[in-house]
Amino acid sequence: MAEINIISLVKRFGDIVALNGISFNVKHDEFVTMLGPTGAGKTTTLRCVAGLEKPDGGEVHLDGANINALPPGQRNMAYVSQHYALYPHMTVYRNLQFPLDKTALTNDEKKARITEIAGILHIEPLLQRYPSKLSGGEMQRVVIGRAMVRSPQLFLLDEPLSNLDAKLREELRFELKRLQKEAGATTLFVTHDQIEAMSMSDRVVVINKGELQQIGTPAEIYSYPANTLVSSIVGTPAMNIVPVLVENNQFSILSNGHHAVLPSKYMNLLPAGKYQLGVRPEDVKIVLETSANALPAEVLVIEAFGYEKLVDIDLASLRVRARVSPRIQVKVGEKIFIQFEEHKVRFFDVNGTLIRS
Amino acid sequence: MAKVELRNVVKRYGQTVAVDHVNLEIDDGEFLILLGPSGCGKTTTLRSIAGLEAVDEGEIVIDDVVVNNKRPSDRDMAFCFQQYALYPHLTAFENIAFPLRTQQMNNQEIDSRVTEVGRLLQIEDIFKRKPSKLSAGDQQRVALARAMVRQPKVYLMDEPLSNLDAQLRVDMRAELRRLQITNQITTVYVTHDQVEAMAMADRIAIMNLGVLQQVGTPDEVYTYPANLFVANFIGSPSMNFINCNFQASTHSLQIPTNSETLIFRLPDNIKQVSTGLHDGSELVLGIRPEDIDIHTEPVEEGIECSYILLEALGSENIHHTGHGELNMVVRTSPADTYSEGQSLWVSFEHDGIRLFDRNSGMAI
Repeated sequence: MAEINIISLVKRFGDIVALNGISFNVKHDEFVTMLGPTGAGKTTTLRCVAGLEKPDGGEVHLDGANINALPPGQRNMAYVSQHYALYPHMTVYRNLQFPLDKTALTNDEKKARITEIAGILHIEPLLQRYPSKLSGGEMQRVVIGRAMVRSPQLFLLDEPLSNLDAKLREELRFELKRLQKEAGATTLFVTHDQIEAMSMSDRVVVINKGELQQIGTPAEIYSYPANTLVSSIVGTPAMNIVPVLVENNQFSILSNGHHAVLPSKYMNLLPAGKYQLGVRPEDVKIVLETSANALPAEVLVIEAFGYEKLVDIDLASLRVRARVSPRIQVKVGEKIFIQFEEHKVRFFDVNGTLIRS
Repeated sequence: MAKVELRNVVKRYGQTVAVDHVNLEIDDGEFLILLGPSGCGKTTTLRSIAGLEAVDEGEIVIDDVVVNNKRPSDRDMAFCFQQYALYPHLTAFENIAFPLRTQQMNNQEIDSRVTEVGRLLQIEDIFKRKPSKLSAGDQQRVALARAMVRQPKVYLMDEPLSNLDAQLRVDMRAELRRLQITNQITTVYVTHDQVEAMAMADRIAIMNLGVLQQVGTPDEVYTYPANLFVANFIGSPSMNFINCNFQASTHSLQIPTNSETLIFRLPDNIKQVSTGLHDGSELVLGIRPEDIDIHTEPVEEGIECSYILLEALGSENIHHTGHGELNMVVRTSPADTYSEGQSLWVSFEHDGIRLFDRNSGMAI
């Protein structure tokens, strides 16, 4: 398979800088996801790799060789976009065969290849059907099959699940991931859906407004977001961000002065001053009685999901969310105390950059 | 504030029955969510309540008065639909104020009402802009504010959060819910998003193909789904479904897989519900991902599986395991990890086991 190196990629559309020096790599057989909001530059990056856009600066390397000048047709990459079109007048079989028409393969070889791909994608029963007789999920699999049939070196997938309903998306993200593992294909995947990014990727590249924000495994990005922007993109609900004042190894909530002891690993690390404390909803504990490090708060809204509850909490006029067990019984308006899980608390400086402990 | 009733409501479009004999009572002050996939009839039901569709059969009743023949404007309801039509020549503020101006309310009162709802929906900073200068999400919030600035008998809302990005949607749903708890205005809300429905509703009415499937609190529909459709639609990842046959003599389930038949002895707490079953009854065993336990050693009642794939979501781990063609999805805390191909044994929490009739799909 293949390895891709993206080096200081720059792309402008008129006055707009779509990519402002993006660099990262995708290793052999790796599944890398570009995650970011609309307009982040994800699709532009993908199209530069595919050769569908010409970068204004920087280079794309395939297995160590600069491919900037190579036309898309010679890059041996499969590009699947959000708007997938199958030939409506051809059966699934013919749709899968089409990319092989101009190859030197014998008919038997083509047939073997299509049968193999159909087996991997579980679409054998559909081979004689026409696209109009397929469900959204079936169509999606055929499109991916058509991309796979040429045995490309690299898969470029642009939001391939975004037009599907929630249940199907859930199923297909698992199938796509399993498929990629079985086939061992280098994959660069684009999505704005953090759950897809978290669940499918070996590594995630977070970008925003053409700028790289962070590269890391899903666990790294979730646990140590490089900045408050990343912290808000990964995880639903987002990480809670609370402005605090740090003094004498204590932090106090800026809006009401209630204070708690600084987590031990930050002791003597943070000079006195203003910071932003970040804590994931599942690391906010609700307690009913005061104790050291318990902050007084009030329950605003409770959302019960069966397997968990999300509790919206007023902490000194700040909104904080806790993800708790369904067994925790609280009522709207109830006065409670909250504690932050000590080793899960993060601190960001006033500009939003993570302070590494 | 009002009580809304639907009595045997039918709406047809040509040969298609969009709403099929729906009976529903929405209590005064209740937040009821109509939930279902696209085409299930939820929007048509909402539009029938609004008076924007004339029903073919049945009655729409508000506070014990049949309103079938009342015009929409005489029903004292505020709508917020997916296709929000804002007045293009008016600023966001004036769009929101519009329903109040038509009521001849004084300016001071209008200012304070619009500001209040604007603050709750976090759109005060865009008050001076016209719709063409607003993002889709902002337009949607302005439309929502325009509906909520009034205090009508009933709010009717059709996917009012669908154009917002994920984080804002989470914020807005909590905000809307809080607003509704405060003002106690009866609300009928349509969505296809089960998470939204679980988060916001007092009760959820789940529809499919025009037919009401179940009405209940979020907890009821999650814990005791009335049929396979509801069981599958509510919850993410979905409930696991395992085809099986009842064996009366041993009070157990036979689970056919590719190579062999697994025997699963039903726990005692299922005995009562299974009394109506006969030998060979075709069933589906349903179990939620969080009600499956994973063991690394053989356990009694355990099914041997091999580990397929992890989806680590940060706040939780979703594990895919399989026994032949039988796949099972398990939800655990993020601390639990296994390696691909590893042999595992899964067991089912007795309280989490649900049985469905395979032919009718109904819960047993």
